[in-house]
Amino acid sequence: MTVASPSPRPRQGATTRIDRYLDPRVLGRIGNLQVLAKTVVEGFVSGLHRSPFLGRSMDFAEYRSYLPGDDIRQIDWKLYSRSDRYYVKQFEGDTNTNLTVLMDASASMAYGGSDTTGNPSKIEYAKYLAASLGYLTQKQRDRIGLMVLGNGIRKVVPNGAKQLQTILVELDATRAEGELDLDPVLAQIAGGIRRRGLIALLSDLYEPSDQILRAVSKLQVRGADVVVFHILDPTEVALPFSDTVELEDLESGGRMAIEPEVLRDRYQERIQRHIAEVKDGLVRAGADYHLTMTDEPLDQSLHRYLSTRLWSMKSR
Amino acid sequence: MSFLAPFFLFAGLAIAVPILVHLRRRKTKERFAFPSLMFLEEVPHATIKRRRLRDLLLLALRSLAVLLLALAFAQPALRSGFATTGEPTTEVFILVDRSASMTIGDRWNRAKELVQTHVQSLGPGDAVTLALFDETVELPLISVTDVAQASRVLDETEPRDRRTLLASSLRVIRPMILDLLGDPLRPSSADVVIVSDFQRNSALDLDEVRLPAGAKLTLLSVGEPSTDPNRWVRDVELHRGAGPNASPGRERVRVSATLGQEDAVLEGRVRVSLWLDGREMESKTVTVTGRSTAIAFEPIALDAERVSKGEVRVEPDYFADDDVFYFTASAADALTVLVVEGRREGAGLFVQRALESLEAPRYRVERTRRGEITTADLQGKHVVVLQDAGSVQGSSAAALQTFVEAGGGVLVAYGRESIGTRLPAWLDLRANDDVKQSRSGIRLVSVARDHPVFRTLDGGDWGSAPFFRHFELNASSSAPAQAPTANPAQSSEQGGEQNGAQGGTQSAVLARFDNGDVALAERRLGEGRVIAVASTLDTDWNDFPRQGVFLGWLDRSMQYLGVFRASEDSYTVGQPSLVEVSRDRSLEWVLQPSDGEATHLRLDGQDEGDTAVGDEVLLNFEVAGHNSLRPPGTDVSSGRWFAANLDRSESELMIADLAVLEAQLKPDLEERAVTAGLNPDLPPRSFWWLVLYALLLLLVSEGFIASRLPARTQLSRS
Repeated sequence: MTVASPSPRPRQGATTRIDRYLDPRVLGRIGNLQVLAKTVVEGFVSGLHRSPFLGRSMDFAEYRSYLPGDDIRQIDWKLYSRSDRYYVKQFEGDTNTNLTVLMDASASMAYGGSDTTGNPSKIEYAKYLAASLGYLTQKQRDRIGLMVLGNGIRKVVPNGAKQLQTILVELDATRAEGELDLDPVLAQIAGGIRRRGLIALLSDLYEPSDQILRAVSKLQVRGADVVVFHILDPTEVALPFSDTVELEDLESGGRMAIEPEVLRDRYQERIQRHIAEVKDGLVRAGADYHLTMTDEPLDQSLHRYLSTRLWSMKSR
Repeated sequence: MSFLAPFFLFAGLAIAVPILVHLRRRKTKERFAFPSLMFLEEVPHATIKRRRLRDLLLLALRSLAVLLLALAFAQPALRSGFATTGEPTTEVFILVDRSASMTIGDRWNRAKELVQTHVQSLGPGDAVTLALFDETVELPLISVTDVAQASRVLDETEPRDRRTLLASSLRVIRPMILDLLGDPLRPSSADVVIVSDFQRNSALDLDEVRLPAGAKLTLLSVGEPSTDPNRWVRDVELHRGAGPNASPGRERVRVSATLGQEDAVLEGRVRVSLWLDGREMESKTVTVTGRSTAIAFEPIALDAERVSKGEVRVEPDYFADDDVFYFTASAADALTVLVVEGRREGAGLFVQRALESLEAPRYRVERTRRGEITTADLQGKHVVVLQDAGSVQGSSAAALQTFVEAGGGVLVAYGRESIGTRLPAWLDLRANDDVKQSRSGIRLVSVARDHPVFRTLDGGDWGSAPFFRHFELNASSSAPAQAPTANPAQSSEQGGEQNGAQGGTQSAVLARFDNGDVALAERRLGEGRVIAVASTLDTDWNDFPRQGVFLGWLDRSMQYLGVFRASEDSYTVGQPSLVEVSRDRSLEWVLQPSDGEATHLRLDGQDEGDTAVGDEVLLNFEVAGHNSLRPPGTDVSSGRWFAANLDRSESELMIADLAVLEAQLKPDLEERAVTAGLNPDLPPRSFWWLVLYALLLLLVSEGFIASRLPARTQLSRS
């Protein structure tokens, strides 16, 4: 197959070093997810010139009455001397957030890879992204969890402040296989939500747009803020094949011989319409949507996540 | 079905080429994993299938194209009646004679009745092709099913003043019959019906126009033998110099005529008369014996300023069209020649006497001794002959140069007077002053026989005359003469070798001696011509004037140098005739018989049958009689008159033996044997052209379908 290889997208205002470390094609050579996640996040953070403890806000939020079980070190003794009541100071950063990464590991996510398109496969990219999100989340002392989806819910790593290592191990072991039907799977996940939090869905979303919206809405009903990373390889959007080819569906195994010259325009029109429908539907429903190509630097995806998280905290 | 060239069927194996190409392309199709076919399946799948179908369709079309091409080259042929559609029909080719002899009695009316009777017997669906023929053919109806049209066309047709030539019509319809019988999609039979008086001499050259095998022939004759013989005026001749001229500008001419009759055995008396400008000049009764009889009339005086319309009439008989012979006559134009001789007395006398002995054209010759040649001397002269004239210099040379440049001709003959004397450079073609001598004499060889001065003298013995002394002429190049001339027709006709530069120094070799020296040479100057002879024109240095060809050569040389063309006394209807007209006056002309309708002509060479060259045009006279050619808007009497007569071969009214004629026209046994392999009666119907049509259609379709496919684009790996 001959594909048009997209050139790495330049990032405005970033340093060459950051560029290099955030380029998914470079990250693919690191191999170790932990190192990768650390590289991404540290590089990303230093690029922002922000504190690594971003999110642990030292800003005063409110006083509340002391309740049994509260740490007595958090009692405001000065206020006690004035009011003779026990009050506990609350800060913004003290409100831990749950981030649950739902990673699509169906067979369609295996598409791509440096041997065919020059970019990491979608599942690899999703792993980088999930690891980076996890590392960043742990840095912010939020709770991180992971669910690997494919043929239902394949793996679950419950949310916790010290789950990153487990998550990274699970991510490393995850292979793209099986099929995924989002609606029942997300319905099942929504039924298990006990605490409001942020849910990041990493998927190529090969389902009808109305089903996707319906599935996501079930998460939102349970009070979750949803950010969807729609991960696609550039070649599956552009369909750059040059001659008659036979394509095999990675999930269903179905085959189809096509004349790309004949179909390309209509195919591109159809997939762009699908992207637009999903994006519009999610945004209208209050979710956050990011179309993420596997040739995009990871910091852009992190930036989107961070924006969504801040917005989520402020709106709470 | 059989094939006339079955070997080409092997070319059909080339069908493997597009199939192999197709299969090879199929094998190269690669398989790739793709995340989901969801959106591809949503694209109208028919497109892909259609493309696949189109590929197969293109393969089929291209394979079929190869097969059809091989099939066409193999020339498939069908037996008649095989693989054809529709009911068999008959195409009747009716050939009706409309020559002059059809005016005899009620032949024309009977011919029309015969045609009408025949077409009424035709069945529905039968078609008629009508050919009106004499020596030419006209096809007013081609394959019409409304057969009644044939009678209507004949009602509007009249016989013409033309002779009969049956072969002309058969030559036209033969390929039509072949096409008809060879058409595999149209089962037809061809009936050929010839309605004519079947004159014996109309059945010429029939061997080349035998009817194709399968055509049915019917001969319907309207001719009948007559007890009275047909007599006609075969020819008229004008004999000039028939006596002393009555007055200047007039000429006495004796008219003689030749009478013809069909039966050589018969002898009878017939009255013959000579008419001039509507007046009977003489009438006499003569005894006609044998095939032809010559008679002469008393001399008549003709005017040089006007053309008289003459007729010789024989007593009318049952075929009137050949009883009158039309001619025109006028006092002949004379060529005026000035013969200049030198100190040798009588040097020009031989030339003068020779020219004066000629009749057509007549020559008016003046002879003068060497001296001053003035412009007045050259006034009205056509040719100047410098016969051993010696030196011509000064004002004489200037006057002569002006004369030649204006179109006059000069014949220069060198002799003893030329030794040590000079002529102007434009006139002198000698290489040097040396006289070459030969005791036994040298002979003329290498005569340019296609040059006008030698043409029609082919039988002449040019090499018999010895030349004992001569000058060497310096025109020796071998290039053909292409000198500029006022008359392109004549310049293009010239032969000879050419030498020198353009204008006054260009010269061409017309004849050489056997030692290689140039004997005759020609040079152009302005509009005029100069011919130089290396020796004398009397017997002083050679014996050429004693030869029989000398007078003819001298006559033609004078006409050529004087640009003279004799007018014809009469022309033949239907035969292209070269006539001289002054086209400077007009390109539009009117040709009108004295008792007929005018025809407008544009004599610029653009119309069919009109070939205009210089002041001469090729005309076809359509009507026998006196024809006036004049510019439009002028009176008939002001035109120039030409006489045209019916071709006298039409006067032979003997009827051919129809059985013999039928045998002549039917296909010969050899042709039958060739076609017997397929059908004993009909030729094989090769329909290779139909296959080619199908191939063409198929290629157009293939091109259309192929053009609808998008061009393949190849993306490169960066």
